[in-house]
Amino acid sequence: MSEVVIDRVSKSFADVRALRGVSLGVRDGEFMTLLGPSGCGKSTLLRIVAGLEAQTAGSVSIGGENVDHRVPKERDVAMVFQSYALYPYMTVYENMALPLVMRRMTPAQRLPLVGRFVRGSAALRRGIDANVREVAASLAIETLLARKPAQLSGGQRQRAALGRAMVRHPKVFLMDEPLSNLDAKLRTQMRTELADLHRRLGATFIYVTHDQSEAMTMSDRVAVMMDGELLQVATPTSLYNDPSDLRVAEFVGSPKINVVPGVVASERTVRALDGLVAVAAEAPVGTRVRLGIRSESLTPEGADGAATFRGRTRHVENLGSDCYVHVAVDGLDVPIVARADGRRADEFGIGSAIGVACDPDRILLFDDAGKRIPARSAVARLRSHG
Amino acid sequence: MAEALAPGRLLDTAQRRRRRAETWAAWGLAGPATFLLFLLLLGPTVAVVVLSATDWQLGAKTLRFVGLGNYAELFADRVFRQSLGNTLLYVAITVPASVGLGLGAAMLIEARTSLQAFYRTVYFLPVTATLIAMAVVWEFLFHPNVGLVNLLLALVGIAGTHWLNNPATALYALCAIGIWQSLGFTTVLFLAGLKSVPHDLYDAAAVDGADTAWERFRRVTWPMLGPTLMFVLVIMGIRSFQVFDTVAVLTAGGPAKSTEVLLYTMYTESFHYFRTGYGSAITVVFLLFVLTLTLIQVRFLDRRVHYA
Amino acid sequence: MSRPGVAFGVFRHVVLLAGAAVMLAPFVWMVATSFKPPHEIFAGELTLLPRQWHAVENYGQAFTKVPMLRYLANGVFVTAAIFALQILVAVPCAYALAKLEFRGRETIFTLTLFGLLIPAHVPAIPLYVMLWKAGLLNTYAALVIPFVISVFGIFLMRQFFKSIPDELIHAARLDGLSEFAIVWRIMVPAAMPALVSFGIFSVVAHWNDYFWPLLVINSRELAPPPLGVAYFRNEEAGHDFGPLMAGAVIVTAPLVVAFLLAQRRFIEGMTMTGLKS
Repeated sequence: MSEVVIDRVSKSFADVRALRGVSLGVRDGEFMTLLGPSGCGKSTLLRIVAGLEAQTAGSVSIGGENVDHRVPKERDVAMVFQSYALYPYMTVYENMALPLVMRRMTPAQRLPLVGRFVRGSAALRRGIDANVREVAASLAIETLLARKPAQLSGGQRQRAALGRAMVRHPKVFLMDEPLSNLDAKLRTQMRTELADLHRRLGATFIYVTHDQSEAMTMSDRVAVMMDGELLQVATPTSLYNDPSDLRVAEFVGSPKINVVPGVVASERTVRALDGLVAVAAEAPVGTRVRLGIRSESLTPEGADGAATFRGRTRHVENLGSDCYVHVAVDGLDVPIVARADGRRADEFGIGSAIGVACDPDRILLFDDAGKRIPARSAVARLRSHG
Repeated sequence: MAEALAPGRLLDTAQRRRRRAETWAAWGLAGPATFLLFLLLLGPTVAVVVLSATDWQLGAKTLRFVGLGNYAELFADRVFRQSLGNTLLYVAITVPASVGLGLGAAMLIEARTSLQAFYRTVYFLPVTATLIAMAVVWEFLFHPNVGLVNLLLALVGIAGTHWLNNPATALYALCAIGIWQSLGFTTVLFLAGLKSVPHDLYDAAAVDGADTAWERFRRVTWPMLGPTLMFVLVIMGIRSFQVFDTVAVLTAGGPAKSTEVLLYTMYTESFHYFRTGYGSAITVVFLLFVLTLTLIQVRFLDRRVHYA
Repeated sequence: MSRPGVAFGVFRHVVLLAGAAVMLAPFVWMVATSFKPPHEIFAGELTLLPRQWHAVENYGQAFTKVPMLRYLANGVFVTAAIFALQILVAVPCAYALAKLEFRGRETIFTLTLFGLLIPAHVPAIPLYVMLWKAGLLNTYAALVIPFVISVFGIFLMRQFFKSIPDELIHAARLDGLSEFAIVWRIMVPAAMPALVSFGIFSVVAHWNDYFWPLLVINSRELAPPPLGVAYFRNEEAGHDFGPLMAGAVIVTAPLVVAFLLAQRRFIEGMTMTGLKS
């Protein structure tokens, strides 16, 4: 079993509190992603799990055992770094063999030149060789084993770094933005490969990234961090559809969620700008709220009376399959972004008056502090009354 | 969302133990060097300062503190004053000459591409050559009858002298060797400095109308080379202050003390006459001169950080 | 190229070639003389090539009149021992200063910087006394011990280690390397260029050093090359320049040849003295 439990971990550097009592349980075999903007403390947390940095308070256990007193090599974790951290003067083979050499061979057996004459070293070398080649084969880098890192492409280095991590079958893989040095196309491809690798190995992965699309596409669960705090831990689906915090809603999803100020107008309605939406909020009438509305819940239409918001078309982003219509609305600094079918892209003239309809089923309500307010659509009841 | 566990009660001690282990490892790595640093460099340096306040003679059983007595004696000593004067004169000749010639050579080398590598190699050659061996060669070159210098002078009708044996010329002959030996050093440093001047600046200067060689030098090269120049001056100053090898082999401070220099005086007082306290005082004077030059450099390097 | 361009090109070569002639003259004259018999040397003629070749005799005498091979072997042994010990002492310290956090780090680094300010001649008297008390004067140990600590080496390697990314060290710790193993398996191979530069600096400085051997060595069996040349010269002064020049050629040749083979590295290594000296 290799679950990782992080219990109220805090970390302060000189005068900065990088982590403020973060608690997180990562299940055995789970792909957990730590997602957050740069400087949120996610990499620090990963390094604390690895044992590369010591926490100021709190504890970490791996596989049910407290590892606070353990140095990195005793924690049985492997790490893949953003820069890959391959030893530049060693071949790919030597890079991958090193963790095994350090673990399996005695200092005498490791000696250069002389070591090979120490008893048992040949058998150990053969075993290590077999392990390295097996892992290299599974990553399709057998042909690169004799090369130095400088002779590899970005993707190949990435695989070599993965190989070095995989070769000793650790309980836990820690990955610190491993894809951020790759170009966009390769990154998409490696996403699939990493997810596939995780399924094959069945090991626990903790993956750090600031890229929400990486988090959404690969993870079993995502932990969103900001300012040294954990905001929410959830599956990608519920993170997107059911965020507990406005900051999470804003960080996850592209284009960014629309945020419109409003007020609870009645038990069944919320007033947003000039429009009224049929949402029953679990908050007293008169409560100031913010409505989070994703662009796919907004539909651009004619500027007639039925639209929730009215404004003028500022810009149209045509992506082919979809198009995003940016609508400048009075009372809002940022335009509202609504999605339409790509085939409608030419309908919207820049500067012309436009209305935006809103699906009340998909509206998320947050209070002034950004905390989620439970709410549900009140359309059916309004209808039945009307 | 987060499974809370009982907080690690042993955390404090466990972590303190780990951090202590790290400190031990670090000291294991840095300790030997630190110990040797004290034993072989810092300690002896302090010891020299202390010894300079004593009348100790090497091997003597007793020693008396004489305060600044050695220094008073030093500055009353005609030989020491001459030694200091000779050293300063040596520095005053060698430094500007090797810096000026080095700058000129570097600019000429850098001006065109042809034979650049050849010139750089030839000019740098004396820097690597063993100075003692080359000093012996120079002694032969300066030989009054069969030396190359006088043979060449004879070609143009000038009567040479016994350069190293003539009190009027010996120090200048040593300066010539010193300049010959360090010219390549300054040349290479200036070449590096010139390479770091962005070519755009010359283009900009040309567009702005500064297109003669002199204008380019005055408006671009010279100001951009300022930091390098300062650096090279100080480095050469420190190097020249340490002149010893040529004096020790070729002139032994003579003739008539005309080539007596600080380090050589220190050497004879300490290791020929075994006046260790007195020799220590000369060392301290030497150290103060070098430190002054170094401090100039440090201050200047600090300022260069602002330019960057 | 325009006319003034051509004129300048010619001017440049004339001046630089004249300078080059001066720089090379001692070397050329040294080699030429080492081939000549005494009577040609003392004829005072301006000829490069000897009429009668005397190279075998001169070089033969350089090897037989004084133990020249012994001098060279001493030089090789002493410079190699100094460099090896400097690396052994300086590299772990440089790593600790660059990459580890521990109490006392700033103090050690400050002391190292202090050390950089002190010329090698300053601690000479106390070091001499220490070696004398320890009964080590006139031994190889006396030639090596004072230079075992190289503050410049510590400083240089620390600067280089600082440029190596922390992630590489983190990876090594996860791969199971101790701090000691990180120094020798990870940092040293990665720092090879800096080590080579420092090696050149160290070897050139100690191969050419005259001051310290002059103080502590008084038997010929232990003399390094510069001291050997000085002995040779004191015996031959004014008598027989042929063998003396041959001796100078022999002592100068190793470094000059090495320099010609690896100029860029040499210039890098030697100009680093700019930081020290």
